[in-house]
Amino acid sequence: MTAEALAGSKASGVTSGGVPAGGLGRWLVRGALALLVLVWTLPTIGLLVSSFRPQQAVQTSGWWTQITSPLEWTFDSYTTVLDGGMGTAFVNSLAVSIPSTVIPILAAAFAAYAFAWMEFRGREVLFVVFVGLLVVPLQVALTPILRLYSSLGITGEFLAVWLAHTAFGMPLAVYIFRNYIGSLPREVIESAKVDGAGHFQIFWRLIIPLSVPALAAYAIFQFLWVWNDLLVAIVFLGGNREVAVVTQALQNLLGSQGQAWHLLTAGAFITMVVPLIVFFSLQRFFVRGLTAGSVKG
Amino acid sequence: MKLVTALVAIVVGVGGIVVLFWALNAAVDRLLPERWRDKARPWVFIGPAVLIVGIYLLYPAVDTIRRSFMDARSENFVGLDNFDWLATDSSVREIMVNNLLWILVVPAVSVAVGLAVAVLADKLTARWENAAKSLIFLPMAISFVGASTIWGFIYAWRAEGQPQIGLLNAIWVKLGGEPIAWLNQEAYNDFLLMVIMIWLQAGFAMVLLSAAIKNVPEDTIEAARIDGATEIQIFWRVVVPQIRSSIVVVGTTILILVLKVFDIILVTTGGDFGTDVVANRFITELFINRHAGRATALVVFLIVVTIPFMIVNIRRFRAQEAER
Amino acid sequence: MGTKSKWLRIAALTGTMALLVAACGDGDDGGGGDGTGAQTITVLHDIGGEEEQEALQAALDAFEAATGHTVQPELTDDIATTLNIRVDGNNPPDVVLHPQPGALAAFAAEGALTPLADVGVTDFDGLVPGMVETGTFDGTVYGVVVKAAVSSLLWYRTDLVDSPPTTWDELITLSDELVAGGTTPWCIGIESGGATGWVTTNWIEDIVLGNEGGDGYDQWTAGDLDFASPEITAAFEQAAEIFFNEDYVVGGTTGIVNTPFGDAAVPMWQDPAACALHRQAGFIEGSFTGEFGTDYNVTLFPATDGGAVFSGNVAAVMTDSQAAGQLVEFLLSSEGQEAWHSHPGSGSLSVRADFDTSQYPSASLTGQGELLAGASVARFDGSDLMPSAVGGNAFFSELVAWLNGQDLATTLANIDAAWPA
Repeated sequence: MTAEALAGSKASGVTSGGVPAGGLGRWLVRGALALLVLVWTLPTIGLLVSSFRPQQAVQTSGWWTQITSPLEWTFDSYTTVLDGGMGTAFVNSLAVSIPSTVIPILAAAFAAYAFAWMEFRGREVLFVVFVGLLVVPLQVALTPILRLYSSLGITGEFLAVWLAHTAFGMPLAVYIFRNYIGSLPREVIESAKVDGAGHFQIFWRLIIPLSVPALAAYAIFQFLWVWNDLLVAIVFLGGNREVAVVTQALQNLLGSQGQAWHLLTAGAFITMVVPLIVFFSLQRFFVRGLTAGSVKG
Repeated sequence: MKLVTALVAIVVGVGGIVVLFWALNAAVDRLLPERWRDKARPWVFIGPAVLIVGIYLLYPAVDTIRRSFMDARSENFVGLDNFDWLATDSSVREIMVNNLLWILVVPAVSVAVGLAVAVLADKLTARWENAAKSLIFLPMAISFVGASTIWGFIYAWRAEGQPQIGLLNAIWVKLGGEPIAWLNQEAYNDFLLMVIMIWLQAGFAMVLLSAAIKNVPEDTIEAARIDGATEIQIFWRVVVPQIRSSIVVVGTTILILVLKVFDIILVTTGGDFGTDVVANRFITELFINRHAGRATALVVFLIVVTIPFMIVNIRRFRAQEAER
Repeated sequence: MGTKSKWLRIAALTGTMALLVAACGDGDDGGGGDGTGAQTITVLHDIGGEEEQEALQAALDAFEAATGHTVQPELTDDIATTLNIRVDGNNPPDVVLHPQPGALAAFAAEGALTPLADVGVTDFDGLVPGMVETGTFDGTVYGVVVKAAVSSLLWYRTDLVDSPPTTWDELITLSDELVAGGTTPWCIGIESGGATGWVTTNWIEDIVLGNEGGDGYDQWTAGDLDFASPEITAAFEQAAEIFFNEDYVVGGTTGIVNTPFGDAAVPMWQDPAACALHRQAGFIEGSFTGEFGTDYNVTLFPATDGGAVFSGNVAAVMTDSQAAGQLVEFLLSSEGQEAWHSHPGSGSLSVRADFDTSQYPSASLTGQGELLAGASVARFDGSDLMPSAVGGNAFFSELVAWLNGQDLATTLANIDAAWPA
């Protein structure tokens, strides 16, 4: 394994006489991490506490007073949000988000493999174009796409949103996968070729299993973006209530004049549940040795 | 019933793409003469990606460049007028300075925090590692409006004597200060908004860098340990070199997200108090002022800004190919 | 060869099928033109809030029951963005209920609106004066206000204010008396995320309407009277008497800029009351904890000199759908207005002069309806009449800059500069 050997030789150059982290080092690590995590979580705790407070209390006292001198706790915000037709919206959001996550990942993985391991004319130029498109704001694309959809008559359909999200997520996916797949050791692919495997088999049997951490990582993000998207949904799904997603349902509950913003606190947590489930279920793919093991095996 | 429709839609959507690739590949094997197959196969692999990106992004991007030379409603060519505006308008200069600050600060800090968490958590037991990483990741899962509400509870200002509902002012007043309207302070309000972006993006950096760190072969680290390297030396001389291209990728990605960031500005200050950035101004010009020429000129500017970073990336990938 | 090519065919077929099913797999496609004349009408609007939507839905339900057409309402939080994309994307809604006549004027000039006469809407009898004029551009009626709300309202605590002021001078005198009595007179808050400042545009509009009358107001909103003109400069200076008087406003000028407009009146209901006066449209009542008539009351904002500025939604048609015309006609009819504005969720006023004000769901709305009907002159919200580059952007963002320390001459010059050529 080239990468390993290379790194190994670099590592052997490290000869200064340090010692592995002992007891003190371990506590330093834990302390630093605990501090970071606390700082990162504090704002969210504020939101969580606020979501259980009456509207009046939220506007007149800090959320931390709820903990120091508990006032009244209420589930009102949650019941209001859940009563607002969230059930259908959850199902719709899944129907939008899952294909909008899987389609770009598969298409981008194929493309990234080709960019990393196949020879063809215009490879670099094409790749630069792909990555360059990362910076194009999706707002400039909405009008031309809608014009196309209007002539095809597919606005308001799931397909319209899948393809749009697929396109908007594609440059980043290709970019990330190209980096990951390109860093896989050459021997693996060469030896598979010697065994008579074609590119298609190598991709499915080797590249996909080896790339699981990167695929899982990107899946989390793409899912999140799609799940929390409002703009693309409004433009391409329109107001067809049959297909309205969670962000639209939440939007329907909020007043245009800021009267119902306390519902946001509860809404934020309710909509957060599914992305967190996705995160936790994909988390297990970030395990050491997954790659190394399969390469050696 | 609804559930069934959705399930069918999911299966059709996910199955459709698998079948598409399988069918395309089979078509190359079955229908093309052997000598053409190797030439055609790369296009099977990148074809769907190229097609969809071409229609959905490349065409609009080219159209954007064309419209940047046209007037407000994209009806008449106006030469370089929009770029002249870009170069001379004082409010545009202000937002460019702001964007430069964002570019310098946010990617670096986000990557640093994400890397720190990924590395430190890696030293914990699996359960604690997952817990720590989940909590850092949490902000990413929150919708943008939710995030703006959250930071409202941090930066909020209430008149002196009134109970402070913002955490920062509550602490500040407790320490004896007068309440400060944080987001109005032109000297440092940009940085307070950057904190929100870093808070959101550190999880992104952490997840990708964590995946990269998990791929660093254990034996390279063991070898260094046996050679007597300290943990810090191992990090800088063994781990970092092996994940360098991931760091570049994550940094570039966050940089581009920073260039495109507008929602944080829009929901907090709306660009007031000298906090406006290019992407937010683009939205304003496009949808409020309805000046497509100026809006698209701003996008062209963003595209030009990213070119140097693209060159760095290409070099990086060439080096990667050379060493594997 | 045999099996493989069969699989290939099946695969190709499945792929095609998959795309086809996906394209039409969910829900109905509106299905217009099935011979019976029943059609689906899409209505884009920004009328958020659960209760207000229920009120709108009540009117739409009544229309469906009366005509057999189907109405598909589409709510957007950002109508400027959504409508621009939809129009440029050749996918306009049949009807739009737009809060900004100024934006509609631009669409009318581009040919994106259908004159109401072309879809059979010609009868505007019985409407409150000004409702048709608001949607008339270059002499053609493109839209009519279907839902109104008085903007120029002064809310006051009855225990602190004996008799409501009727002129600007009385208002200043009252403010001074309150300060002398130990109460800060005003609660003002204009923070509104990306739209911070729109609340203060309403103050300027009221003062201009009061000082210059309907004609001067019209010249101003049409762009014929500059912001830097002596008249408009005077209006800003008049507003400054309150905005920049630290004794008058809870939290001073910093308070104005940093308090969310929806929470602005909260200190009014603390014990003891932190302020006595608040200028805002009727929706703010939702944040009050007192009882209308006993704890607080409402009057026209004295700066208007008996006039009233109102806001609302203008119904306009964007396709050639005759059914859309029928919908607009229905929404303007007594039946439609009653279904909508007597609904308990409505919080807004009818545009019909013959609407029975006792039908409003609350005493407060009845009072507001009477104030609008009794106003000496009524005009639509000026910032919504101006081009959106001004009314939807520079007017309020420059106001914020002014409140945050920018000098007035620069502020006014910047707003004038934003006016599209």
